[in-house]
Amino acid sequence: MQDKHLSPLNLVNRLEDILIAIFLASFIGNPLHIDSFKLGIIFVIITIVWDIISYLCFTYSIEDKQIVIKKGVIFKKIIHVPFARIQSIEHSQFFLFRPFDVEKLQINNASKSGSHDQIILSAVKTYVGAILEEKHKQYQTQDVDVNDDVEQPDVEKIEDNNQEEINHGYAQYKISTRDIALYTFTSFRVFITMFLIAHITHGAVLDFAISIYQKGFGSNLVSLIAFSIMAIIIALLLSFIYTMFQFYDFTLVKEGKYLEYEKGLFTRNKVRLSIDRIQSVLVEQNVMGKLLKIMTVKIIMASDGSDEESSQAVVLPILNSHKYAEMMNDFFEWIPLKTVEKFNVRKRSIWLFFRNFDWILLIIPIVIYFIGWTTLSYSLVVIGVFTFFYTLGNAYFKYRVSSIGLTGDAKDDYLIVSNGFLFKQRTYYVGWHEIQSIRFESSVFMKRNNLAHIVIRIRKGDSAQIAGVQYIDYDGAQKIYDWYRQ
Amino acid sequence: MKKLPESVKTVWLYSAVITIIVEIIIFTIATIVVKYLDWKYVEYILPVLGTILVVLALVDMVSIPYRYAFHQYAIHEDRVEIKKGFIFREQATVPIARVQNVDIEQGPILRHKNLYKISIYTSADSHEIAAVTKEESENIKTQVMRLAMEARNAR
Repeated sequence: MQDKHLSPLNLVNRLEDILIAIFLASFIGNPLHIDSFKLGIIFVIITIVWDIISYLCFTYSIEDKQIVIKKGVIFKKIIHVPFARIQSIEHSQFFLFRPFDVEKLQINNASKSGSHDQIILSAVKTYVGAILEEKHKQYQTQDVDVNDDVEQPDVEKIEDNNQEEINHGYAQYKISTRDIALYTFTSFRVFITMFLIAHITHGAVLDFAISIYQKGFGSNLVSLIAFSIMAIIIALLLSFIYTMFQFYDFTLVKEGKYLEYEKGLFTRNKVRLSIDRIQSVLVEQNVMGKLLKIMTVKIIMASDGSDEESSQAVVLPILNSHKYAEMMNDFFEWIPLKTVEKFNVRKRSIWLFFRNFDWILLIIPIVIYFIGWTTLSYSLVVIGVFTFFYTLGNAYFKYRVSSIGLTGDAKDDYLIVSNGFLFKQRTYYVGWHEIQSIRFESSVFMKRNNLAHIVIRIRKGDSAQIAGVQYIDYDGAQKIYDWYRQ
Repeated sequence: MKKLPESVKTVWLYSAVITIIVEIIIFTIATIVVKYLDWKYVEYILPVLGTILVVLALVDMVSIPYRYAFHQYAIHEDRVEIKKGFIFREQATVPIARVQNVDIEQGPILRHKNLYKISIYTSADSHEIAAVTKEESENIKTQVMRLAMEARNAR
C-alpha cells in the first residue's frame, strides 16, 4: 500500500477548526473594530482551505517492514517506523463512523521523539488496522524491546510463525454494571469537581441551589440537610454516568503473548499490545477501595505518547481482592506471586512523613504575628488545621501501605514496590530487566536510626515513572540494592 | 571508585562566583526598577529572595571541598555506579544493558579547564558525571558503549 490518503471522514474530525475560526474572529474583530462577520468568513475560508490542503498532504504507506508517513504542508516530514518497533496499536472508533467502517489508529513505538512525530492515522478504514495488527504479530518474533539502541540497524530473524504461537493460555474479563457502581464509590473525582465549582463561583451556585430548597422546604436547617443529601446523590450519579461512558462494555482478553482490551460507548477504544512490552504492572487501591475490597490494575508501557492509554492503561478497572491471585495468574502469569523477602516501612516513618510536610505549617503563626489577625489569617488557620489532620492521616496511611519486596534472588525475579500517596496505595511489579536505574539514599541522621530509601525508575510512556519506598531498614535497603547489582 | 579530577573544584568555584555576581546584578537592577515603578509589596519580597539565592550560592561555594570529597563513580563490567554526598548520601546503579547513549558536553567554564560533562542516558532517565578529563571521557564513552553493545547482542 503506497501513499494512501486518509478517509475523507477525517475532514469531519476537523470541523471543530471552523468553530475555532469563528470564535477567534469574533474575539479579535471587536477590539480592533473590524467587522467580525466579514473577518469570520475570511477565517473560515482559510481554515477550510488549510484543512483540505493538509488532508491532501498527508499520506501513509504500508511497506514490507515498516510504515512510512509523509505529512506537512509547508515543512514536509517523512516518518519511518519499522514494524518491529511497535509497542502497541490503539483503535478508536467514534460511533458515528461505525457504518462507514472508519476508525482512528495510533501506533505507539518506544522512541522519545515527541508527540508531533507520533504515528496517528486519524481516519482510516478498519482493514488498515487489521493489516497493521498482522504485521505487528509477524515482527514480534524479533524479540526487540525498549532497551535496545534505536540507532542500531534492524537485525532480522525470519522465524516460523508457528513457533511463536506457544499458547500460554486464554483469559477473559468483562466488566459488569455492579462493578461500575462499585467503582463510582471509590472515585472522588466528582466530589472534587463539585467542590471546585462551588468554590470558584464564590458560593453563588451554592446559594442559588439552597434558595431553591428553602422555597420548597421552608426552614433553614432541614433544607440544608436535604440539599446536602441531594448533592451527594447527584454527585454519585454523575460519577456513575461518567464511569459508564468510560468503561462501557469493558472487555480484556489475553491470548498467548497478547493483551487486548476494548471499552467505551461513544468512542470505542481498542488497544492491543504484546505482553513483553509491559514495563510494570500497577495495582491501585484507595481508602474506599480498601473498604469495598476492590482494586484497579493498570499496566505501564513504553511509548512515544504521553496520554493515559499509551503510558498507564487500565486493564482491570475493578478487581475483587479475593480474586486477586486468580486474576494475576490468568493475565500476568509470568509474575511470580510469592514474596521471598519483604521490608516494611518502619513505624518511625509516621512521624517522619508528617514532619517532612508539615514543618511548613510553622510559618503560619509567624505570618500571623507579622500581619495581625485579619481575614487572611483566619483562612490560613483553617487551611493549617485541615492540612494538619489530613497529613497526619496520610502519614499513617503511608506507613501502613509502604513496603518493598522481592520474589527471589535471580535476575528473572520481580521487585514489588508498594507506596501510598494522597490515600491511594500503588503497588508496582517490576522485573529486573525493566528497572532502568536504582537509587539507594540515606543520610547521617537516617543511618543512625538504621533507615534508608530505595527509589527505582521505570520507563512510562515517553517519560519515566519514579517508584520508591522511604524509611525502610538500612540493611533491607542494602539487600534490595545488592540484588539489583548482581 | 574514581574521584573527579582536582580541577573540577576550580570550575565549581568559578561557577558559584559567576552565579553570585549575576544574581547581585539582576537584583540591584530589579530593586531600582521596582523603586522607580513604585510597586509596594514587591519591594519587600525582592531583598528577601535575593539574599536567599545569594546565600545558596555561597553555601555552594563553601561546600565545594565537601562535594568533591564525596563524589565518586565506577564503571564496572556490567554496571555504572555513582556515589554522591556524605550528610545526604545517594548511590545510583545503572546496568550497562540499560544504557541507551552516552552524551559528552562542555560549557565555557569546563572548556577553560579542558573538562567534559558525561550524561549516561537510559530509557527513562539520565545520570551525570559532573566533570572528567578528555582522555577519561573518551575512555568512559568507548567502554560503556562497547559493553552496552555486547550486552545487547548477548541477549
